[in-house]
Amino acid sequence: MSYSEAGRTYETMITHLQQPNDQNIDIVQSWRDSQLAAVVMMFVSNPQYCGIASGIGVSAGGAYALTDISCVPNQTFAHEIGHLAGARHDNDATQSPFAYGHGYVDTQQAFRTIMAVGTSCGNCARLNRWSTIEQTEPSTGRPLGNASFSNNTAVLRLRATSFRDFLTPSPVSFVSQVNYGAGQRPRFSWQGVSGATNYTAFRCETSSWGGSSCASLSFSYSSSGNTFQVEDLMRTLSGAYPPCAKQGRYYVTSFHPVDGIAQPSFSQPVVCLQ
Amino acid sequence: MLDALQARHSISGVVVGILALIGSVSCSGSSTDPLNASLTLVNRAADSVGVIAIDSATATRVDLNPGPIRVDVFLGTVVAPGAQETLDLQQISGYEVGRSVSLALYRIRSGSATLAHGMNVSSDLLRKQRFRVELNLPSP
Repeated sequence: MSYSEAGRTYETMITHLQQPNDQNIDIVQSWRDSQLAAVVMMFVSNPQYCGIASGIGVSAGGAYALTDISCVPNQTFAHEIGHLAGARHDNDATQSPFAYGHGYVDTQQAFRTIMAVGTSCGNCARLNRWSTIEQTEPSTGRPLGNASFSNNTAVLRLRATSFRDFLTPSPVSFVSQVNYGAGQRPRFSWQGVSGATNYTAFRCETSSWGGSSCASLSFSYSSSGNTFQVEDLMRTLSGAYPPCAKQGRYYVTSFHPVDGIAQPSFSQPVVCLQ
Repeated sequence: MLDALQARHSISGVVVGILALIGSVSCSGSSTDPLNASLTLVNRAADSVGVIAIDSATATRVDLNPGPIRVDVFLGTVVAPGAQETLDLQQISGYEVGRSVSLALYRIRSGSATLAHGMNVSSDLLRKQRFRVELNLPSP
């Protein structure tokens, strides 16, 4: 990615990072979509600040931040994520989006948590800790927060699910429905989903007593360009190819990388024709 | 007065501009429109002071650099002991009339700047002080 930081302020750079179609590092948007990235963090080299977030308590469209590469040991990366989640500085009296969402400073022991700024305590040491009421500072046993104003862990816990779901995979788009005639194997195809690393197709059958069982075995997969096709090689116990409509259905699940591990998106049924 | 000043920037009109100017003079005793004003930073500390000025709303989502930062790459305004420097409000990114200005103060010693103190100066206070801000640092 080509981007010159020369002469640009943090305010300018965060706008360039966030704004789509402004002729400034627009490729970031497609990277984010393909990776289903909850947050975009760009590392810069600019000592004006250590970092900046695009907002406080953002939705998916605002989840962008900058961190000066030399400030990683200052916990700035985590600090900016905190802002995006809704956390505020210790010296920020604003009560929204969370009255209890501020950093914490202990002036007596001269330490501060991740969201606290150095001007409150003569630039005292920043611990790699969020403000919290669940733990104390290990070496002194002193509080790391309070329930009414400084409890960042509660904010992060509350926002975790919405962060995870900032970008959800597109549903599988089927090219052909399940289709087979006499002597043919059931088959269907779908378009590749942006960001998916692999797919699983499976068949669910409804038993005579009303239960259902699903299997993903014995499918033949093939792909052509961005189109994937599957053909069911198995007959049912009765010797017939599996019925569709009321008796059974086929599903496809796409898998997407989250923290480097492929996670399934929702499964989607294929319409049966017979 | 603030309404008048903001209107001046949203409506182009000579009459509104003149009214805003009159309002500014009568309220603050200064003939300077705040957006065109300069802060006068007066250093009362024993050390040189580096100042990073940030619009107060922006400051809530900025992580200040704690330093030490080499003075040759320090991007703020440096004021020698007993001296004064000016800083145009228009140079403060995102600053709007009526908002406060956050000042991050850095102690400069041995060629590097280290964060030492912070000040939040309201728009009203700026006018009362005729845009003059005295800089002091806590004991190191």
